[in-house]
Amino acid sequence: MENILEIADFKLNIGDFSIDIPHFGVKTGETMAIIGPNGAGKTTLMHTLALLKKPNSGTIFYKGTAVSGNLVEARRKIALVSSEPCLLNMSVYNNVAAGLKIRNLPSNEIDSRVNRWMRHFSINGLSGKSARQLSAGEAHKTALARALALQPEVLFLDEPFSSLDPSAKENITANLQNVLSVTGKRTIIITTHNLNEVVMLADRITFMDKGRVIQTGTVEEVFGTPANETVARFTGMETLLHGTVRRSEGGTAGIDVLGKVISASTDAKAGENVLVAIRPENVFITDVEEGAKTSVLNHYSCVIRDIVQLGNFYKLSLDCGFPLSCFITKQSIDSLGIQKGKAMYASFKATSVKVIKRPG
Amino acid sequence: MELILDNFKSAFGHILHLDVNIMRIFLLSLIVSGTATAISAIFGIMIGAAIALSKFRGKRLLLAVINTGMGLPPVVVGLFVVLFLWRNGPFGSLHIIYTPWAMILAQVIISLPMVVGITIAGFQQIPVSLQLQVISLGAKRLQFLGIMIRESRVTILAAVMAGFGAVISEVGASMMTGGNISGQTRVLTTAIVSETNKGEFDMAIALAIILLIVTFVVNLAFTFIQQKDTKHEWKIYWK
Repeated sequence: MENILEIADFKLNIGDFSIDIPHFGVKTGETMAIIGPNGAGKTTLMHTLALLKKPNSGTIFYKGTAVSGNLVEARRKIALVSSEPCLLNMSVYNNVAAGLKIRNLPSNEIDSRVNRWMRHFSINGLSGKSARQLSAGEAHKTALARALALQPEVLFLDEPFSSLDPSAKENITANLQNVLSVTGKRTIIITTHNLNEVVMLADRITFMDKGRVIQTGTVEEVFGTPANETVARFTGMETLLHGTVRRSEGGTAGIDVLGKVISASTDAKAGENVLVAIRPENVFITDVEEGAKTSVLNHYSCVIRDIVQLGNFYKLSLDCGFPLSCFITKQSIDSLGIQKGKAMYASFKATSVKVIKRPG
Repeated sequence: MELILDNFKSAFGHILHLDVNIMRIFLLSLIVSGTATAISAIFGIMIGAAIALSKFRGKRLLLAVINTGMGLPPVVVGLFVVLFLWRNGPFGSLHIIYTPWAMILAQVIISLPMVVGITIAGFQQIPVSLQLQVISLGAKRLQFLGIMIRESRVTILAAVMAGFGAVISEVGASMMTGGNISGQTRVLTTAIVSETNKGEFDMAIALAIILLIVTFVVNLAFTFIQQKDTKHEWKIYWK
């Protein structure tokens, strides 16, 4: 699949901050999520791709052709939805129609498109209402309807729902997902902090940090094999431990972490310094020291140091000689009689341990 | 007290009988100040928008100059306009001194910095994110400018009201550039001065009442246009 948007040799300096991206591309029809910590340069990259920010150097390619000259025509092929709805001080109808009027489309075409997209987002009843009187959720839906009414080839979503409460965010994300599935696949570039949105919407992820692209890949690749500690932490690796490979044989390594040996599936060589990443959802708790013979290679005695409720489940902080986090249901808390200070056993598979090689 | 009451009674008589002199003065005031305000509004909004939306070296200095211009004393403006339009002055060949054109010119100089300055303030209130949003909707330069003017219409109307208020009520520049010639360049403010000097208080009061009514009616109209979208605004609640 060819790239619909590409940027090459992109450099941009904003005060002390600089963005330097040798190459970045988005394939036609895919949803690309740009994620990373605050100040990573995600929005700046998005604004550059959306032809709103001029790079100090570099070329933007649209369908393989360098974008230059009059930008208005190129901008009319894309649409942007920002973290704030950015509505004009006029009615909902006129807001949704704004971009269409700018394009001087015939009034019957405008009317048909506006009504269609207002219906998609269930805001047709608010047509005559002033944008100033809308709730945050309604305003975001209006902004989405305005963008999609333009039938853009590329849709940019810049932390689109960050100002909404979690339930409204979930609702509007589901609404958007539903609308997109009904109205056809299109290229979407989204910046977000919300990993749920990434999992729900994205085909591929680009992770940015300090103005650089650290990793690009599918959701499974970036979440499963994070390129470095920052990516690992950002993508929810609760346990990150520094260790040294003591032995390596047949694709399985024994890694020394604070005097304990953790088995991991990796091609790291003996003597290498590595970072061991373990997701809390991959850790099991039991009160049995030695169970039946299993494929689980990592089994440690531990003490429960802390229990924190996270919505429908709990996070346990364990001391196995090294710190370890584990997610567990209320049902398991009750059935195992889990409480602070209790001695238990924690286990996890070597294949669920991600090993990140550290430079040097 | 009786003097004041008698003069007020007489003043209302002049107004109710639609005194021809008063009507002529009233119409000239409206034409001169209305034209000056319209010219200032057209150019002031464009200049203000251009300055607010562009980034250039010396912008702050220029803003300081414009802000100073908002407080220009009318007599100083009058003095320089007279100097430039004087028979031997740089623009003496235009022969517009002591005509309504000279008064309009002086009033434009007085009101233009107000319209420009307040327009700039209004445009600077528009969030950058909204400006980027409008550009991303595919707006061309003039479309972008039109939408930005619409978005800051409340402030821009305030700018026009401030400009009109300044020129309809100024006396120094009109007196100096127009000469207060009866039937030709006499406007409400200059007429009030001359009628007061003559001791014709009833006429002066009649002109003053008309001046206040004109100012009020014009500002009322602008205010209604300006505030038509604000009826649902949040109300501050103290107890």
